[in-house]
Amino acid sequence: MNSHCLVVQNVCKNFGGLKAINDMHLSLEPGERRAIIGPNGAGKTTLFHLISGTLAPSSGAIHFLGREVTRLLPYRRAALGLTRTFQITNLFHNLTLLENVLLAVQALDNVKYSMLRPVSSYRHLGRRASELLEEWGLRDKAGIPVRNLSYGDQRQVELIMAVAGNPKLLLLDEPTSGLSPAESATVTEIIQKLDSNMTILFIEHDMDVAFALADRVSVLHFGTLLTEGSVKEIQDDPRVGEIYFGAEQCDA
Amino acid sequence: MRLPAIAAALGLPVVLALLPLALSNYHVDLVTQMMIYAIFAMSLDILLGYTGLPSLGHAASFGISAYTVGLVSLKVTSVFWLVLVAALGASVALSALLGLLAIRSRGVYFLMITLALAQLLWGIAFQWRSLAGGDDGLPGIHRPNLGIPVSFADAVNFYYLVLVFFVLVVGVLSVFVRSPFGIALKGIRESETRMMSLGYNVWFYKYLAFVIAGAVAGVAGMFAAYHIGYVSPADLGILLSAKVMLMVILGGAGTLIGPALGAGIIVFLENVVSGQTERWPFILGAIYVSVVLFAPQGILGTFKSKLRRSADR
Amino acid sequence: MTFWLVQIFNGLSFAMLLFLLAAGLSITYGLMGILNLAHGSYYLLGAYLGLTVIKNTNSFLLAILCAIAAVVVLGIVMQRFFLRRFYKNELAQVLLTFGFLFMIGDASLWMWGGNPQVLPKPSVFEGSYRFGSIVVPSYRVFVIGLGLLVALGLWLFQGKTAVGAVIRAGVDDEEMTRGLGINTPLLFTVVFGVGAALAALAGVIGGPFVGVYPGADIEILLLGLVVVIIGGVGSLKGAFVGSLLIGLLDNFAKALFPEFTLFTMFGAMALVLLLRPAGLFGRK
Repeated sequence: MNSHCLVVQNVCKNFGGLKAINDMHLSLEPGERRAIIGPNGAGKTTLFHLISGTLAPSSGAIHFLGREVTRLLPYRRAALGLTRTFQITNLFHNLTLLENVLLAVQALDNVKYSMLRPVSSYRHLGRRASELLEEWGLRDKAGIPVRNLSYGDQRQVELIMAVAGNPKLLLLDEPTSGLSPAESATVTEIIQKLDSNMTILFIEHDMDVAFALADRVSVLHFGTLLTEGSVKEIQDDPRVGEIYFGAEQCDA
Repeated sequence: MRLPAIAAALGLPVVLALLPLALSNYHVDLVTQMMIYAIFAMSLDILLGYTGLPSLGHAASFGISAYTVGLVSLKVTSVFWLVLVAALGASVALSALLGLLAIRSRGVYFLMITLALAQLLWGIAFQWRSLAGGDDGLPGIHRPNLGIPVSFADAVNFYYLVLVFFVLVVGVLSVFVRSPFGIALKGIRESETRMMSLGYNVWFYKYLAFVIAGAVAGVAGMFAAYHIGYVSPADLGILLSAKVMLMVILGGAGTLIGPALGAGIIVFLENVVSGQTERWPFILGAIYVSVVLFAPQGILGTFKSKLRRSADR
Repeated sequence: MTFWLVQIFNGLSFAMLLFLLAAGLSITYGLMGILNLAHGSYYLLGAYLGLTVIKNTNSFLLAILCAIAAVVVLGIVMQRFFLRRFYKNELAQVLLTFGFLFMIGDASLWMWGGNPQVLPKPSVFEGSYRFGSIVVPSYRVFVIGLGLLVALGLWLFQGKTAVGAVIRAGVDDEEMTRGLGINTPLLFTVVFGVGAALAALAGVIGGPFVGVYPGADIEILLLGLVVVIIGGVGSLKGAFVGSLLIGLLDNFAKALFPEFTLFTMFGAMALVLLLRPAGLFGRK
């Protein structure tokens, strides 16, 4: 148990009569890159909400770095090193890029409750924010309100926000959603370059991206785990093609 | 901070300090009232403009402070510092209590529950004759006694007392909204879910913002009671809560100085127009409608976005 | 025993007034996302217009019809040209409709003066009925009867007709309803108009026993809001149950502990909001 980064055990989530997630099992090693794939409605985003703490499971347990986090609120999981991105861009739209990144940077710092000094007086925050923007090539856009950035840039900011605190587990919810092939390639490259000690769990619809980034793949279907394995194993598994394309055409 | 802002920041207190030399007592009194309501409006801006919590019951914190001033200075002591502690204590305690009840709601439900809680207080004040004077209120509140041989019954002296607090509040709040806590409030306004996932305890931030806003409103309420020497249930009521909300929107929510400006304008208009006609309520109503239809970002809000647009070109 | 029965009776008649007001308020918000504080103005105008018509024609029926007609026109103008733009923007709606409330209230003050007035009852209801040991004014019986009739009518309409089903669907999920190709703008205007009509009706029939005076608009609005919140937004059943609760509570409180009536009312609202944030029959 203690050597795993994340353990999801017997987790179920019901919405009224609907079983969105049924007896889910998942276990991640530190540094692993795991893709979650499955057709629409399979429960991938629900699973993410359960792991990030936005939703509480109806039953089952979730352990992160050996600690039980099943009912812990999202902000406490973040403090433990578990962050996420959102499929629909969820940034602070009316604030500048710099303010967005500052908020991410100060989130796990004790100064975040400071009320009587301007944030600019905390130089370490500004420095870290500038570093991040420099790394991602967005330094010259720091003063622009995020709502005026291109969609591609906004997806990058989604990522910056999630990695600003050097998380141990990063949940990426469809990181290439809505991006052009060129942009997808850029984002894929960026993700590949992330700290190799960081465990990454991601949902992807783009199979090329999923298979390029992942070490292992978990396949969800109707809220439960259909199969799990290495990229090659999944690519060769006829059942995976079936659930996407139906029983007649099996083209994995 | 940019140069024009710095110039304004230093220039304004100087201008305000020199004003009484050029104005009659009536006008000095008017500006005093403008400053008091500017403090009130800025306190609501913390909640509404910065945190995104639309409170329709903010008069509760204002009114409870005003009533405390009335009760303490009429029955216990007229020493300013003790009254100050009591009044601020009351508004902090009240907002701490109400915050626990209100913060769990959002949007229109927050609007409704803050309205309900304030009306509750209003109802108590309205009907409790023995303690609060019922719908007659508490008249005869004397100006504060600071223990110095200066009479604050004098319009100019009282003006300077209020000015000191006004400058203090503007200064502290200007830093506050730029502090880590302050920008976190803006983040909460923009996206609570994002803030939660970043690691912020959103409920706690909203709660603290509510209490702080209540405390500042208490400062305003205290001086309002001293200013007219009278407190009544209207100081807790929906009409006042709606009026201060209008002041914030008129000036520009989320700009801090905008609401202060909005307050000044409304107070000024109210005094001037009421002197000319009985139809001030109609005109005030028309202002509400006009602001929503034509300037929803408020004066400063529209000004800022025009600046930004011309800078982008 | 008699005392309680009389109180219940009075409470019920007041409850019917509240229901007429709250029904429109609740469905309008539930269906269109419009929080219309000017509903209180519709009540006030209905009462004042009714008063003027009765004074000039002695016909209570004509008063009702004219008041309703005028207020419905006003309401539709308000909705089409002003309120429609602010769907789901509660803050703007609050300020906007507050503005209208002030404007209409002050205009009414200017036109009808500041003295409280009472509408004369229709002569056919001037007497009283005897139920066993209790004597009740027949006008109150009329009010209760009319209120129940309207409630029944609304309930049948909502529950048994196609349009009613559409309204219920719209309250549940507006986007979906629009997606089904239903002419939502027309539907909205009609529903809004009906709500305004009910408020005006309440003003006229309330006139004889509640009276009309400057400030009545805000008073009845606040009570209406309490009812809507307690009953749950968008729920006709909630508006009915809520009105009964508040009507009876208000009456009993006034009779038993008059110093605390206001506390009781808003206390009840705050309590419900804390325990059931969406009201007794509301969604979410």
